[in-house]
Amino acid sequence: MPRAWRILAWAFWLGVVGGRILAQTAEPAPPLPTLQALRWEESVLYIVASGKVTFHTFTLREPLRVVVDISPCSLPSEPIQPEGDTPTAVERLRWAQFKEGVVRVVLDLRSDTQYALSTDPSGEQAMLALGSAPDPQGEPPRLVAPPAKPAAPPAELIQMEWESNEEEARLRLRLSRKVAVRLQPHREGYQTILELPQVKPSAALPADWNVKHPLIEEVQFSGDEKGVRSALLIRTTRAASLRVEYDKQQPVITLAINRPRNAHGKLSEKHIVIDPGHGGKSLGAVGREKDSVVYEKDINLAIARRVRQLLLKEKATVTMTREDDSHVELYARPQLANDLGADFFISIHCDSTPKPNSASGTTTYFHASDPDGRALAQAIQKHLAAVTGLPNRGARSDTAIYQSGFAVLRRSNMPAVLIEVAYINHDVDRAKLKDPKFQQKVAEAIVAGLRAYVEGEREAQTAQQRREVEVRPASDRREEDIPVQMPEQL
Amino acid sequence: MKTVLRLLVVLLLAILAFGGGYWYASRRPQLAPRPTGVTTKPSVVVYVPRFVDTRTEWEAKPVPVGEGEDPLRVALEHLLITRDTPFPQGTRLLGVNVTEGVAEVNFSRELIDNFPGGSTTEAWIVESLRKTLAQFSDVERARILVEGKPIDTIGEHIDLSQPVAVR
Ligand SMILES: [Zn+2]
Repeated sequence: MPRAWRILAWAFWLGVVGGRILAQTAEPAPPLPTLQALRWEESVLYIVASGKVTFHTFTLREPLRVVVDISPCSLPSEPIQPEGDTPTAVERLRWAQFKEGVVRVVLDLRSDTQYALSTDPSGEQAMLALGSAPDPQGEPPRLVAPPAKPAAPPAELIQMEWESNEEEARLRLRLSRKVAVRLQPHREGYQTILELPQVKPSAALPADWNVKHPLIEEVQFSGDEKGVRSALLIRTTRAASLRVEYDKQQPVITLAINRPRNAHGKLSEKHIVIDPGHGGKSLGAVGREKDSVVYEKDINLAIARRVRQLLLKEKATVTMTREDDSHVELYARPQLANDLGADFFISIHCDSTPKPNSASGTTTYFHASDPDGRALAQAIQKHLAAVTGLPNRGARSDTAIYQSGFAVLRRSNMPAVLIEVAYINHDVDRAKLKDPKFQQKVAEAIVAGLRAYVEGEREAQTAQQRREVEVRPASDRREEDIPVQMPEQL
Repeated sequence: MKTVLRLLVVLLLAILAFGGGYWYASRRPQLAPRPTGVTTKPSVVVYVPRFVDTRTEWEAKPVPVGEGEDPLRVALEHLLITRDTPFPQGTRLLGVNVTEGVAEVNFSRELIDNFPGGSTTEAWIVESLRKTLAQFSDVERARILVEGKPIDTIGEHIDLSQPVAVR
């Protein structure tokens, strides 16, 4: 009965095909997990899915790229906005629905980079660590603390208005919800950026932000329609203290701009404590040359002596934490300034990195987000940058490099800065540091910065004189960020 | 009659086969585990810094943890010797103790004796330690010790007189 068998086979085939069609219409496929977030933390990319998925990674060449296939997975209806800063090793981060059920994430690399991928036990997250694995058998790292953050919709900036009096300029920002903002000095002159992360301008926001106030030269608003990062660039006419005040009840932020502390009267009326870093048995950084060494402590003292000389000529009161090559305890230095009730504390140092010739330039540090320290650092850095002929590394918060900050700045009560004149382990910088003419120029710039802080700039800046800068919040948002504390109840 | 019966049997068998086919096709698809090339063997990450322009970028380096090894110790020991470590030459880990969220990390004398100077170097040392410790959920703060004694500073820039938060 071959015919019967044939009919049977046909019936089974029909059953499979028909059954498959019927089964698909009767029972819809369960929804696929979606790709939820892509987040950079240093050189680690966190990939987060909404459900259990598998991650499969491989390398493609020409151009060099690392691919992560996620399955079963689909893209969410809302577009994904990667968080964090893309590391320099990565040229571009891309992702797409590669085929049904597979989402592909691609990292375009600038150069050969080793990487390791590991998945979270939940199967919902993977961590792709870039960098040279130290071990040849290089096993991938385990995801220890999955820091998944849900992305909130951006807040809208509804209104900005000035409320100023002669002493103080106040800019009130009204938002649709409470957000945390950051104040950050710009590298050039008296310019400060108020970063508004997760904020987009509302359609009703007026366009003109210039206000007539003796402290303010110009305010520029850069609105990000996508709401990733908007920013205000504030140019002041002199060193000014900028503070952010959060309203306890309403989503209102006020930027208060004032003359900073001890910025009245004349430089000649001020008492300045100069602190040449290190001394005695404490050498500080060491610059090595073919047949000689240069000690940071000696350069610091040489510059400090010149600053004292110039300040005495100005008839100001000067105290040195050390007059010679003696050792002074670290914590005794700010203590001395506090005991004297000094107006300013100026610490002079030279910097160094683990690798010679890896960094060059001048930095002036202030403590945490102290508005007066920031103003003083901006004034001194502005004048220093004009004379050193080295890269201007800007006025920076000491907590940007390390959270507890510098001991001498943290413990002094008055406006205080720590100047890293140059890198003693960089050949170009060291040649300058040893040069008495350079030391004199640096000392003059420090005094000019102090005078500008107290008395204001001799001639007001004009729009032509100052170098144009654009508001570049995204690329400026780096480790220099100074988070402004939010009120605790938020 | 015989032909009719034969046809009926075939039809019956066909219906059964159709049902069987339907049942076969409508089973829930099995999500078979795919080979991914991904392992989840325990390992830790150490962080080392470098400048990109004027900003510090941190590289995460994965380090495998062997059977029976303490991941915290492995991470700290590796941090001291890994390429691009900011730690001074010859610094050894003498011990680490976590009590009530505070990690007391005890280093050898070389941390201070061989410290080459510079606030950048000093900040990088403390920051690399902080970042490396932050992956251990039982560590909230860190205290740096040299030969068993708490220190106020490594190189006279950074204030270490109090335990520092690791995250
Ligand atoms: Zn120093």
